Amino acid sequence: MAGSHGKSSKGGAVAQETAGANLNRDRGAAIGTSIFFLAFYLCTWLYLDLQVIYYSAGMLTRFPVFFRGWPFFREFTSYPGGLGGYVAAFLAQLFHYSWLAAGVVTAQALLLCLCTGYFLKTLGLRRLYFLRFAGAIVLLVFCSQYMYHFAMTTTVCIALVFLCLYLKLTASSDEQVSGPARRRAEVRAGALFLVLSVILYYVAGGAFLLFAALCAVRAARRRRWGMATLCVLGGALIPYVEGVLIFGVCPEKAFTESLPGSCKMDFGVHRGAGVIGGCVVLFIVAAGLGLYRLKLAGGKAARGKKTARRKQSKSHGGAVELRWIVDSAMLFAVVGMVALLSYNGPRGRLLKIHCYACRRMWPEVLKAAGHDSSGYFAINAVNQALYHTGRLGDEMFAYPQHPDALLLSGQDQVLLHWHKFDTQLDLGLVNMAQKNFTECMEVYGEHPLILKRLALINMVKRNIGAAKIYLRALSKTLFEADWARYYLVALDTDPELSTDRRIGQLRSVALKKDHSTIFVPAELAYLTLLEENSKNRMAFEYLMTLYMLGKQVDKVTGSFKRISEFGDKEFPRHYQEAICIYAYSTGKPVYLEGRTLDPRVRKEIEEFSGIFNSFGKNKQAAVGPLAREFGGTYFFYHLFGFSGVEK
Amino acid sequence: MKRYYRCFLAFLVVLAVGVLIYRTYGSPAGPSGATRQFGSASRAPEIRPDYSGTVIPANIAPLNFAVMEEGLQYCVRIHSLKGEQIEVNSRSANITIPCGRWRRLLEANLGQQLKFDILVKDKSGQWTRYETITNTIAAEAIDDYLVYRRIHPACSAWKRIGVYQRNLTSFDESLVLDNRYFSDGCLNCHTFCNNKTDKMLIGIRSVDYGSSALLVENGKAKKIGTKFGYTAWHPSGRLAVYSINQVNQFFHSSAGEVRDVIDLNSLLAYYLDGSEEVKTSPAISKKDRLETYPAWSADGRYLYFCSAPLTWSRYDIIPADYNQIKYDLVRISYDIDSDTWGELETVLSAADTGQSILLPRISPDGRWLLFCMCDYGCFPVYRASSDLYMIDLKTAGQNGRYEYRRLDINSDESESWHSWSSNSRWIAFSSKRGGDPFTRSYLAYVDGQGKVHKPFVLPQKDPTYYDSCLWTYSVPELVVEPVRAVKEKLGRVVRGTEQIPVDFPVTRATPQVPPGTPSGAGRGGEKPWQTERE
Repeated sequence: MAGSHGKSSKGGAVAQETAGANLNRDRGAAIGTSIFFLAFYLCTWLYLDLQVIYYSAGMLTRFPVFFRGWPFFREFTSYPGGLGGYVAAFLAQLFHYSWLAAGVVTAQALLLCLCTGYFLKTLGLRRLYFLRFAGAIVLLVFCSQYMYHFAMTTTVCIALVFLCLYLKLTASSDEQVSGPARRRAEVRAGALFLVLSVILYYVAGGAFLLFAALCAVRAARRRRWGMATLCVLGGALIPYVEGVLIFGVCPEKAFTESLPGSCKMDFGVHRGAGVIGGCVVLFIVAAGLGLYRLKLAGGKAARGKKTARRKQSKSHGGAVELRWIVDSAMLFAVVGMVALLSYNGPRGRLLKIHCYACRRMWPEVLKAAGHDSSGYFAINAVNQALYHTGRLGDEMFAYPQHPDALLLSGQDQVLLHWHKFDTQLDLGLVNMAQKNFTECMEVYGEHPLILKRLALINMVKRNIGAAKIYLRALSKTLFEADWARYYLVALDTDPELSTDRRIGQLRSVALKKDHSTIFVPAELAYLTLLEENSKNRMAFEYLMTLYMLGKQVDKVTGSFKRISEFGDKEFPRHYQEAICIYAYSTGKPVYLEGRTLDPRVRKEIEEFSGIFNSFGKNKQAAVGPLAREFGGTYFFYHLFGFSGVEK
Repeated sequence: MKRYYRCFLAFLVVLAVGVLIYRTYGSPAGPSGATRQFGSASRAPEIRPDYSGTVIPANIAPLNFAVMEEGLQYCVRIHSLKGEQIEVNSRSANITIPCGRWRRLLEANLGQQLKFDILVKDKSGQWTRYETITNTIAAEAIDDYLVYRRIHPACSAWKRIGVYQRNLTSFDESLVLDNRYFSDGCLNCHTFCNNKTDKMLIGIRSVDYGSSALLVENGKAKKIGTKFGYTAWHPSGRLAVYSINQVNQFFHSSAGEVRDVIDLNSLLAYYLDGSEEVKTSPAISKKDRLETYPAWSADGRYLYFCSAPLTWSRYDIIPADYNQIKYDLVRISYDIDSDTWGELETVLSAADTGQSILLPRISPDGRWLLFCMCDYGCFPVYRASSDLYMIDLKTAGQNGRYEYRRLDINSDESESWHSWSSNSRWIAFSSKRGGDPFTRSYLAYVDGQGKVHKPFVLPQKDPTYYDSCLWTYSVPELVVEPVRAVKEKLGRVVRGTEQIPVDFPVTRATPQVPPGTPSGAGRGGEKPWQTERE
């Protein structure tokens, strides 16, 4: 008795120890998970700055629109997957703020992690528990790539939540091993599966297939073949019956709604992303297997030293801690590698430029663009920012430039990067901007950024009826509603909006004379704008910029007299440089409208010529030294045809 | 036991929430007491859409509207000579009229006045009664269905273009076909024969599947291997005349309407349904004229169409005098049995009217010719100056003079795309009066004397629908029955390779197509961004 008692007390101690170890492990896992998602949140908020996705300006073709109110909601109730799409569309609007965007993505990643973990646990695959992070890592890849797959990931989350619900509700049926009780439990589980399937398919569309597949896996693992068959059949039939026969959607859509095929996600545009994603998943699996082997080896070693370890419980706790640290370190290493490998820096930078340009945050545009963004759209935004900060004529050649990037008309039908149409509006080419933004709305949907601009354009054109329609639509959005409501009230009190400075300014520069062609050469457009309003400073500066970019120093000199319209006492450095070049090359005097050249500019052209001549006028040989000294000057651009080189 | 207790508790919570929601959003009680106790406003209330002083058909869906007067509670009493009064009480300014009672009230009062008494409760709890809004219920019903094209204002990229049908007796709208069924192509110019849907044509343009006309006949769909422009079925249903237009879209640099359209070349041809062949006649395809917008007289003996002089030789640039192009209205006799065309005669000349005459449509009873006139060009929906005009063909037949009059229903914005109901008592048309570029469908009653009464916008279940609606609704065609063809099936036919080959006798309107090639049928022949029209 005493022996047995002693044995049982020994067994109890072992059990207590195991429970303690499990508790430690769970606590460790919880701490690890918390740290992981905290890091995830900080990374997506501060490093990736996901709000740029909201301002993606057409680069993400499937970014959804969302309007408050029942009519918009009702549109989503008419087809399977609609409710999931509605939720995704709502959550997508939260990308308006970076911290909210990061919160939404982190919450989704956490949900994926918890659901996957629960599924693995119920399957008894504790050794594969690390795989619960796979979904979060895939999300991180999407974020690092600045891709938008939110609709799909949302419906997948919904499907996994349903899966957990199903597993939770049928947990007791697993305990029934035989007899009528088991049969009853199976029938109950089958009925529950069908009910949840019908609901889930309506809510999440094609993502239901994941639910059905995982239910089938779980049933097969428990050797409940009848249930597994039901899950497979359900997966095949429910979309057809509910989708095709009841909701009347076509068969292709019935099985793919909310899935990548249906979403037409921009894999086509960024095929590389898919490849990287695949690599990342492989990497995770490989790392996971490595981890698994490590654990196995650790387990064997631990078994060999079982007795000794029992005697040294303190040192056992230390081993658990060590393993936890190793596990966590490996996890973070994997995630870090994934984030680093998949990070699409150029795309992120371009999105940032657009984001700030759309919000007219000009210093931030220049900071995001740096001195090496040479894409047309980035150049266009940089020039816009330089103009609005009053630095175009002084600093433009410190940035890469190209004559074709100054005014992007939209004639090429490239409707991405909406900020370029803001340039048209600011210049006074109102109809051109209207045409382009209307086409943007057709292609990309009723994005608040587009609605806002179309409302503004119609107010400028005194087209009050249409302006109100755009404003009322905008008033149903989440974050631009106040702006819309302000103007709706203003229009009611004063349809002319005569006291509104922005409207007044745009009206003053707007092109008035009508032509049957909207796409005219840029020079003609600027000249026409200046002919109608000689105080259109932007048209003047863009005209001068165009001439400088085209190395037409004679035209720069010829148009210089227009500067008197603006009453500026100083005149920009690059104009002075252009005039110097003209004067030096032609030997003709230039009338400077009562202004004088900065002596430093004279000095610079002499130094520039001196260095160039010292290399025997060999451009190739002189480029380095000249770039170092004069990289940001018009002299350099005029000679070499490019700019933006570091001083 | 514990479980039952929980269920009961949950039930109580749900009930409480339900009661709360009902109390908050449910119909409040209306004003009680005699009318004299109310304050009285000596004006009619502003309602949106404007459903006042108009003539409505008895079979129209309820005219839900929003009361644009400030108040805490609203009461609308709808009544006529006979039948039960409808009272709608609402805390919201949006008035939703019950469908069944509306129908019964209207059907019981054909030809009578329909009155709306509107009362508004202000913050102090005082009810104000406004002057009664009066409409008239026409004795004649409107065709039950309206088929229209719903597109975005730009419509340049061939995204989300659809032909929809709306049951006018309810708010049901269903898709006939949209371009998602054939890889974002374009579809337009849906045309019916005698206001019925057993013969229907839809023009198709697609990068992937070429251009074609989709012919739906008695539920069967066929693809005709050529592009049909504006089409008119002969009343016999044996042939359809269509235009072939070399359309060019261009854009104005500062005009109110950015978009504009010019036909650099056009002619008329006709498709013989029985023999599946395409023909034309020199009289309707003159080298020096632009022919378009065909319309048959009710008896099928005359084809009316628009014709303008073609004064340029290049078909790839917009002529400098594009704003001087004005179309005449002409007609030509036709004998369907012998397939012979008569002599052209001018009905109305642009020189006389000073405007471009477009889109003739003749009422099914043959009495009225409804058309548009605008300052220039061929595309009235882009011209704010476009207004609706009418000619009494009976009088013209008697005195030989086509006297036209401008209708009172016009606005400052464009009116166009009109169609007649099968009983010749109703017209549907597109108008931009709510704000260019948003085109909406309007309905108007035409009485026996040809007076067209104040139009009303197509009613929607949500009375504020048009306030923020970013779609345009164009080419509203009234039909007596729904289109029964299934959209998936139509889509399959468009995508399919099987088509009726068409050997067109002239290639003038599409000069770049080599002889022998079915016009516009080649894959990749049509692309978005080229030309598209509302």
